[in-house]
Amino acid sequence: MVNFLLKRFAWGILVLLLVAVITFFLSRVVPADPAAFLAGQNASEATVQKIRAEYGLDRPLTEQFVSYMVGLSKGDLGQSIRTRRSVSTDLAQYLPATLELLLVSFTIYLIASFSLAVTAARHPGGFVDGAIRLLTMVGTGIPVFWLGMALQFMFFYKLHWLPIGARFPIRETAPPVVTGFLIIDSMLAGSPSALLGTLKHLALPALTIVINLLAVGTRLSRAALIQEQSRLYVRTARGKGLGPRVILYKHVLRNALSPILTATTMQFGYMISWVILVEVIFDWPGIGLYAYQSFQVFDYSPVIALAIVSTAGFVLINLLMDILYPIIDPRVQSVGS
Amino acid sequence: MKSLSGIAGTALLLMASAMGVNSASAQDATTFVYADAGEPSTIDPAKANVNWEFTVTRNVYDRLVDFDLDDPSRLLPALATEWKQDGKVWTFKLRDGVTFHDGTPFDANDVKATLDRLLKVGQGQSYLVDDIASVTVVDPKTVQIETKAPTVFLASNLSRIEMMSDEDIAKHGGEAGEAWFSENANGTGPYAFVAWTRGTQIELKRNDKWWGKFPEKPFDRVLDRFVTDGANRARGLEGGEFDLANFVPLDEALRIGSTSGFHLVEGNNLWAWPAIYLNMDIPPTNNKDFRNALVKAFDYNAMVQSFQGKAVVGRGPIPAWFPGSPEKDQPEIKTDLEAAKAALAASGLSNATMKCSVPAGFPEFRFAATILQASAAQIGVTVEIEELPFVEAITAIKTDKSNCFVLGNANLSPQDATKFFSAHYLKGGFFNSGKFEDPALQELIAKLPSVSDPAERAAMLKQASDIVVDSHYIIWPARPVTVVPEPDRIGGYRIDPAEYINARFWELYSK
Amino acid sequence: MILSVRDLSIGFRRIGGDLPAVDKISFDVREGETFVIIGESGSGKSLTGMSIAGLQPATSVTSGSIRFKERELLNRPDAELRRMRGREIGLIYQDPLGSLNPVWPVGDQIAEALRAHGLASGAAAARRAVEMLDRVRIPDPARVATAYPHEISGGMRQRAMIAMALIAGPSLLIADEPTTALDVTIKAQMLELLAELQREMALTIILITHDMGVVAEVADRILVMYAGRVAEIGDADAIMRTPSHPYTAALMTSAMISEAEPKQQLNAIVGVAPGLGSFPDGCHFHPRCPLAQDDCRSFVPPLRRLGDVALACHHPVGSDTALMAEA
Repeated sequence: MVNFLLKRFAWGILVLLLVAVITFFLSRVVPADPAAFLAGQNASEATVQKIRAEYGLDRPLTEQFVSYMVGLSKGDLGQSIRTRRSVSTDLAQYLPATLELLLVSFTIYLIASFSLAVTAARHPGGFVDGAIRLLTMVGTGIPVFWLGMALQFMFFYKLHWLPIGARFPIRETAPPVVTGFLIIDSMLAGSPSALLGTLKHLALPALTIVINLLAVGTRLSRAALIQEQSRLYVRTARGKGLGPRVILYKHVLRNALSPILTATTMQFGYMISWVILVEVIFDWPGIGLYAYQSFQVFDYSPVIALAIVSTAGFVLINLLMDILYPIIDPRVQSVGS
Repeated sequence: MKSLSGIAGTALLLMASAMGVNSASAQDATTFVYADAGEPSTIDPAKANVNWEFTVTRNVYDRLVDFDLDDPSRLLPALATEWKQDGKVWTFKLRDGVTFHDGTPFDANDVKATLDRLLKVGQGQSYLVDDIASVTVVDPKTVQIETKAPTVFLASNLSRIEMMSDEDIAKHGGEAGEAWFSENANGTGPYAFVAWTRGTQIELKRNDKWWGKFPEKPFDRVLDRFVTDGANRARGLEGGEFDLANFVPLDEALRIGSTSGFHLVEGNNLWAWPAIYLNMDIPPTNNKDFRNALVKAFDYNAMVQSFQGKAVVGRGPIPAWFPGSPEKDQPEIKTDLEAAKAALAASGLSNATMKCSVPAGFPEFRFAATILQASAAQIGVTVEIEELPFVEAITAIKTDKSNCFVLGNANLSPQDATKFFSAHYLKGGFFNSGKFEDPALQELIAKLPSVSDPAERAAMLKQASDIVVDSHYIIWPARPVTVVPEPDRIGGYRIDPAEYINARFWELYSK
Repeated sequence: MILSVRDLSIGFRRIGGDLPAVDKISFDVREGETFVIIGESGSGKSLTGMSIAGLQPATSVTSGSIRFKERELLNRPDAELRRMRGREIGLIYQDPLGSLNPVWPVGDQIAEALRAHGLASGAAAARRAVEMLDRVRIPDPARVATAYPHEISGGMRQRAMIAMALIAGPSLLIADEPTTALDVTIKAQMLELLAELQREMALTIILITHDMGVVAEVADRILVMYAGRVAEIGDADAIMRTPSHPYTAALMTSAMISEAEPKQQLNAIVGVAPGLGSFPDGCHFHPRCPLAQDDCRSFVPPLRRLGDVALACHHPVGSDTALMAEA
């Protein structure tokens, strides 16, 4: 097991390296000059040149690459030209916001898709099943940005129920930063109103992500459940005199978990890519917005860092799944043990 | 089913509690929320160069002089109470009893340290005062500034230069790496820097020890909120989430301004925006008659309409509000297809084709280029448009790969036109992308700062302006009026004609 | 009479008419006997067996009557049948690997049968599961109880299935092809075990199989099914000695040909058994029957008594041929 995990870990590192190399060169293929952005209107050519030198942009590409990779090996993600800080410092500040949004969305998604799938799978082809299918299908066809803007228009502009963006009510004072997760920080500060404010700001971005994930997730979970329901062990369970509830929750669900987990891993991947859009739409101060704004001024270190961080997230999730599979299904032997 | 109804229940509960607190009614009279179009890269006054950076620096720091927004020819005392020019030497008397937000007193050493550092860094607005030769502290309340050549514009240009603390510069500048200034601010201004929540906002609080005068019911707390999406700024303003927003899309601004609870504030804006630069070095745009044909063919009305009528057609590079502007004495520039055809015939060119490079991301630029394309087609000239990232687009025309380039012009100085002319119309100017050269213009601009008689300066400015107009180097499609929707509950907003969009928080108050 | 089945029909709902799978079959099972239902796949034998416990597919329609200990079971609500399953009627199946839940330990699945009926809970149920594993002759039952199905052998799995079926003390055991997946030695051991348990626990067993070898060893009485109908039913010895139905006879013959390979036995009969929905007119067996005559093609033979057996055949073995010889 340990051996296997080490091997997987090594793979993960290799993948990350590849991503770093690819994004580095991709970012340099686009000819743009972040130094001109820093220098601003009416700056002289000499000023621009000075800034280029300051950030090492005047050096040959291979030299830039080597120094970037050397930095990376020491955990240095480079310098952001836009924020004039180290990317690691920025990430430490922006990452909790993204993680909070992702975790909240994902938790809601898991519970919702699971409940819907279980409800639908109870009587496949029935009215409830059909209604759920129709509802979730609506979510698939809608592009994330459109959905986000529509929700914003509806709940902020028309109904005045929910705020327009960001993480916390504007005029209120946010709880002191302890973890960077506002839900936790609000609780640590013992402030129910701060918690409510946080949740209100989370609602729309999270809803946007959940609705988009839900369609595919529910369908996959439902299919997995229905397939498991036709297995022979279900007949055995009935033959013992077990009720439908025990059969579903103890027998079927546990078996359906593996395919559902596989689907969930993929969904997590989609979510990482959507989170950028959602953060931009809702001014959510996470790494997505950070990278997007950096990208706009051709400040590439944050963009490469985002690629690395999200790949690392994906690698980590996969690693977690590799650990989880054998626990969920004893037939799955972890490779190498 | 139990789990499902559980979720539904929780969701309902949350929604109900959310509805209980109506976010739109959350305004209070002491906090002012400004929706800014971007997040500062730095709040270092020596490096700040975009609007959302100025939002912070202009309010946290003071300048030696101020100027009257309604009459930019009038300079007003600020940190300096009086000043005089004697050839190359300017002497400024400094205000008594001014302290920085950290409590240290403001004196002549601060002025010297600030200007020395600004010129050494050489970024941001330093170009406005790059003719300074040396700064001398005469006594704590007197500072002398010597320029390389006599210039009447020094005081007016100093109206854009924020004064920092020499202690801070000694402690955090130079050897210390200067990074501190990027995210900290200690000025003497009406508002003090409190905190910067990355990705979200910068918080300021009112400096009640400020030397200046606040209106009645000023705002004690200002939140400079980063809202990148224009539609979101508009909606947030309309919904009451924000008290004021910059760069609200024009159609949204007009709509919001006509709803109850809002009014429109209109004013002069910068110089001309956009401007189409024509390449003087390569055919067909190196032909003066050809350029003249394009200027005459251009459909100015279409551009004005694109600004929903909130624009004027410029007669040259210098807007009417600018001190000494020759605009009222210059002929109107109008669409005249007959004259355009005649000019084209005079050029001897037929079936000409030209390429236009447009910096991506600016709909107005693209629209101006599209109008040029349509107008040129009417006289049989083909215009190809390519949209490129800014640096690539300007490089294309500079390296003669393109005939034309669209740029937004800006002049932050309230009185000095020479910096603008140098950057845009003189040899070696960074934005002189079409490589215009004129020795007479060069001479005029070089001489202008040394002329003390305003009437004589105005005459020279007209000559300079005429040279650019007559060369047909630039097409000025239309000069938009700045339109800002202001909630009725707020008062005191005035538009700075020499800035993109300004926010003087110290002039705002709640009604 | 512990079980009495009358005119049991099972069909599958289809657009354009139901597909009959079992057609009006009747039989009785006596207390304490081993009643064997034999037939090829598609004969409806498993469906018949499962329907006794109410485990026929949800898409099927049933009619007739199944009376177990004087209570009608057919078309009763599932919640009612649930109380009977495991508690009064135990079931074991052909594929013990697929029939066991792969993600729960064997002992847990056995104990579940007790817990389902509130007979024991928690540790007590677990302890009794281990005891039951011991009773089905599993060595080291405590270890096997904690093992997952894929970790134990095929024979052990079927023993565990038996333990699961019997732990709640049913009086009737329905064994649906319990030895099909097992090799010859294990098969013998399994039949022996069933016989022993039958004695110890006073079980009535309904054994569903296609293996004549199994029949010979354990059957008290036999029901031969072909294409959803009863071909022949009666005392095992009598049928084995002198099979009257040509189908039974063919089964016996092929069993002797390939004793070692029971799976080959039924294939030894010429032709293939008809699939669902393609049952022929008249006697369902006539296309493969060496003795078939015109009446067989048109008329369904009624079940009639012939000595110790009842059979459905117009021209039983040894009667018509004899008559023809006389003529």
